[in-house]
Amino acid sequence: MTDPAPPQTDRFFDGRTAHAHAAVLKFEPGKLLIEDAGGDLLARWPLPEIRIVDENLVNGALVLALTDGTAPRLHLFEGPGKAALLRARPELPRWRAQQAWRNLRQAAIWGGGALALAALLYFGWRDASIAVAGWIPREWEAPIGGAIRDELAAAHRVCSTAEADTALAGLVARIAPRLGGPPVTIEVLDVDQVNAVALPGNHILLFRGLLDRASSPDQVAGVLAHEASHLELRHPMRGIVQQLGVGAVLSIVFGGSDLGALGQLAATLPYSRAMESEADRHGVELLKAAGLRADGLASFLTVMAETDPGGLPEWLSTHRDPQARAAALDADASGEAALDPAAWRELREICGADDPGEAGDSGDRVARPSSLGRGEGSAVGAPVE
Amino acid sequence: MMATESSAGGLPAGLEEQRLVYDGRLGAIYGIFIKTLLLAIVTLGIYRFWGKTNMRRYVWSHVSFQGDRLEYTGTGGELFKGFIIVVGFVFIAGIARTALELAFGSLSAVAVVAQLLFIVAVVYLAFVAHYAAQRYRLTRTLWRGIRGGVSGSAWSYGIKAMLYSLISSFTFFLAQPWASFRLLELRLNNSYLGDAKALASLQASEVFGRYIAGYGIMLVLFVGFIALAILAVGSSGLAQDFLEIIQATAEGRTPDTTQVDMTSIAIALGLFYAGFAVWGILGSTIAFAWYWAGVAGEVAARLEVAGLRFRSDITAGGLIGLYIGNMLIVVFTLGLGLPIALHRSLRFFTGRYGILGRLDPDRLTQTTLDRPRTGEGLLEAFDPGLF
Ligand SMILES: [Zn+2]
Repeated sequence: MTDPAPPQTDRFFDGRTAHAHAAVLKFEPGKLLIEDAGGDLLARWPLPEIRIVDENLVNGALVLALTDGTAPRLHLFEGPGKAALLRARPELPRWRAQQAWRNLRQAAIWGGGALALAALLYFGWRDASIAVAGWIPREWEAPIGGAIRDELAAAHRVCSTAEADTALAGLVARIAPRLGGPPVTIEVLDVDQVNAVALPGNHILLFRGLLDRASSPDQVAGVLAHEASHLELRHPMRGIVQQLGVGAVLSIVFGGSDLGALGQLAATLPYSRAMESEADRHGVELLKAAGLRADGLASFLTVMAETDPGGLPEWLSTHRDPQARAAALDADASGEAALDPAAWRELREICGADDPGEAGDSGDRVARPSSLGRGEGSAVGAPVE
Repeated sequence: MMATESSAGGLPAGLEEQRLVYDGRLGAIYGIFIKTLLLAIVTLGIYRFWGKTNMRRYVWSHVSFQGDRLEYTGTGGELFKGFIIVVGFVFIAGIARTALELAFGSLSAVAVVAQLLFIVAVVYLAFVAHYAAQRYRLTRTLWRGIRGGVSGSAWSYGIKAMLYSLISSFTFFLAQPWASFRLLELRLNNSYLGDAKALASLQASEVFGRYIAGYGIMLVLFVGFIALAILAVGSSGLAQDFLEIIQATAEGRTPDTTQVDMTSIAIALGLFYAGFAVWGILGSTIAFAWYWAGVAGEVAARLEVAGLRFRSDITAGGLIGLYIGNMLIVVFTLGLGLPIALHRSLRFFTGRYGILGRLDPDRLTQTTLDRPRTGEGLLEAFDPGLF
């Protein structure tokens, strides 16, 4: 029950029992021999593997162990043993600094790693978003876009006549026959604004103002082809993944995502210029493949920019140079007209018998985006832009 | 006969009493704290794990038992690895949950069930973490070359803890002393110091009266607070505004903002919640202090490790002083007083448990229980404290 070693003499704990052995130190080349008072060998420690665990500032004892993390401990007090060990390992007293340095280095390496990962995500996210958006099944887009489509449809009148609906649906089916995912819906909202929206889940919304200002069905077809291209190229989903980036991933993971808010964001996000050009080009390809005139979007952009430069809706004016954009478009006019005159008339009157003759000539009709109210502004939707 | 009658655990008379000795200095703790704070900022918070380890090494090595100091053998790397594993799990779970929501719709049965499962999983993991953290800390505590250990499975502890908590909630938490004693027993009776197993058989009946008293005080405090809030609303002239809001909500319309002073309502609600939180925290600390002192006493009286018995001097007043004092210190120093709170707590608890008997070092042999390789990552996720 009593310890053979009084507290101020060197002691050794062998890690098998809590017994304190009185320790006598001897040295061999490269080795420290720890013996008990009777001369029996307690342990043979390789000198280079000895580390200081702690220094007891109250009684001056050094606590030593091996670097392999095993339990045996040697407690050394001031005396010949400690002095001899420090002669053999003169750098041992700097253990605190070394340990602090080791800790800091580890933390810094991991911190740097985290920073590098963050940078990689930040800068590589654009490219990664294309892949990520590609992995997400198209069906999953439905609830995101559906929520905001329902919200818009509840806030504004959805125009519908049997003839116009048939004409529109036929046109979309002809332009984008191979659009994957949920069936495409195309609707006209009674909003006096030149705008069109492609929502995730294959919803396309045209605003009445756009029909009023378009001077031919081919212009409408050009806009539709552009919007359908956004959908086909997964731009809404890519936009969500890309623009919201890491923040979105984190909020999705940690903060229970709200799909309505996600849809709102999807709709208000501006597409990048690269995406817009991609949709412009792909839209022309779709029209050509369908055997339709492919110059509609270009002529619409040109007319809008020329007739009404000051009253341009935000989605158009924020684009630096609509003329250049129109010029970049392939204006192949060799195809068929998008709609026959009767169907075009039906479409223009889908929201009621507005006088179509007046439509193209005045800027008043182009409402500022804010006329939508409820703060969605330009944005209800990723516009035709 | 008379002597054994007097104490709860039936202590043999004439045992020598000793105490843990804590001789840490506040200045040294502050040094570690400030260094951790600064380096954590530089390393995006990642130094925290190494700082925490430094703090523990300091504290452990300034607690001695029977003349020998404890040693903390954990490393910052272990804590960090545990944390990374948990972050990975949470990340994957979150992605899976969002994917389900997107695939089936956020209100679909699948998504709702997934959401519920996620919450249940978080609660379950909190219990698992608690157990795993105890194992980590005990296996990283060395005394005279002998370490501690914890047997049993943290996962099965988590299931039992969920069940006991469920039962307790069915009784409106009246069975809480019983539930927490069963869980405490599970944690104690699986703990080892070397090869010496801890033994404790706790009696909830010993503390039930104290718990009911605290429960009653909380009820009274709650009713009192609501009454106070209603009085305050009445005297401030906001009653009409609240009535309009309640009516509007009942009728399913938006409140008439011309009649309602929304700013004052917002301030009133803010005051209400803040008051409720302060009231709840201070109230429960005071109301249950007597109970917690009883728990400490009961555990000390029933616990036996390696022939050692224990005695608690902890009183309700002492606990109230400690906790309320710590809260005030931390709040009024904006967190910079944390080391003071830590130092006070260590002095308080080491000084108030009597250890009866002496441990025979020759008979205490090394444990063969597993030493987990990663730190308490799970607990880190739930309790990212200083310590
Ligand atoms: Zn576009």
